[in-house]
Amino acid sequence: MTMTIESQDGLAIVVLTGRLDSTNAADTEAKIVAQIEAGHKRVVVDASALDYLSSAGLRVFLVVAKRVKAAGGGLVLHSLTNHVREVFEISGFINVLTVCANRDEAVARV
Amino acid sequence: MIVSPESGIRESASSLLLPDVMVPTETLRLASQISEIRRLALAVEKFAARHGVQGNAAHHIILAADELITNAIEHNPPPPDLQMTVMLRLERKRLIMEISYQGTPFDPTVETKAPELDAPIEDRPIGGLGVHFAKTLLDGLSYVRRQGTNHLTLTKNL
Repeated sequence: MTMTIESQDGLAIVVLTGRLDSTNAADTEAKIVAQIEAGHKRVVVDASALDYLSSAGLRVFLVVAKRVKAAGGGLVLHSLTNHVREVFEISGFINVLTVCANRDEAVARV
Repeated sequence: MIVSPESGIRESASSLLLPDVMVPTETLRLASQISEIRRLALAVEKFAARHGVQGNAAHHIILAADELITNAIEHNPPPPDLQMTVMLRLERKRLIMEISYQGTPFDPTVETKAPELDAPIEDRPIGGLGVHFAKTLLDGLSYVRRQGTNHLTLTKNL
């Protein structure tokens, strides 16, 4: 998986590509948490190129959501692929995390 | 891939049990490490593509195997030099994966109650979803313990 993060004025845009699973979940979580700790507590995750997500990867979003909520910020994901959407549905995360259709909507909502 | 006389015997023994010589099979040996799951995923994707498996079946069986293997390694870390054996079999209407590994008995099918899927974010436990995923994505999941070895059978209807 590759991950790029652009952050500015309290907003971090995280672009995830490839696979998020037990092999890279801890590293991904640490990098996003570092953004929150640096003051970027509005987090947008672009999942348009994330084609594999396991429960270990899903855990990253849960941790980040709890962290931003505690910090008074927010987490919004956008452009889920079919595989990732299915994982969100079977875990029930589709009902507890905010998911948008595109980047503009996500930035407006977060 | 490690070829040992022992593994050779095991492979020929399992092929004798096949109901039909035309049933495509593939056997992989993985180290008991999380990083091996990617190698497994690639092998399943190639196997599925080579034999024309359509739709989400390969993805679902890969994700279920990922959850079960991750769970097994994290709950009961086996020595990393211990190998897991994965056998793939494509029957006429089913994709089947058998995962076998030595070590402490561990039956994921009776492991936990279903997670509360509607709980608010503050109350969601971190973890505990893996087995739920596997059960949801598969059409069959069974466990047997035989001669000191855990055997999991994952079935996905096509």
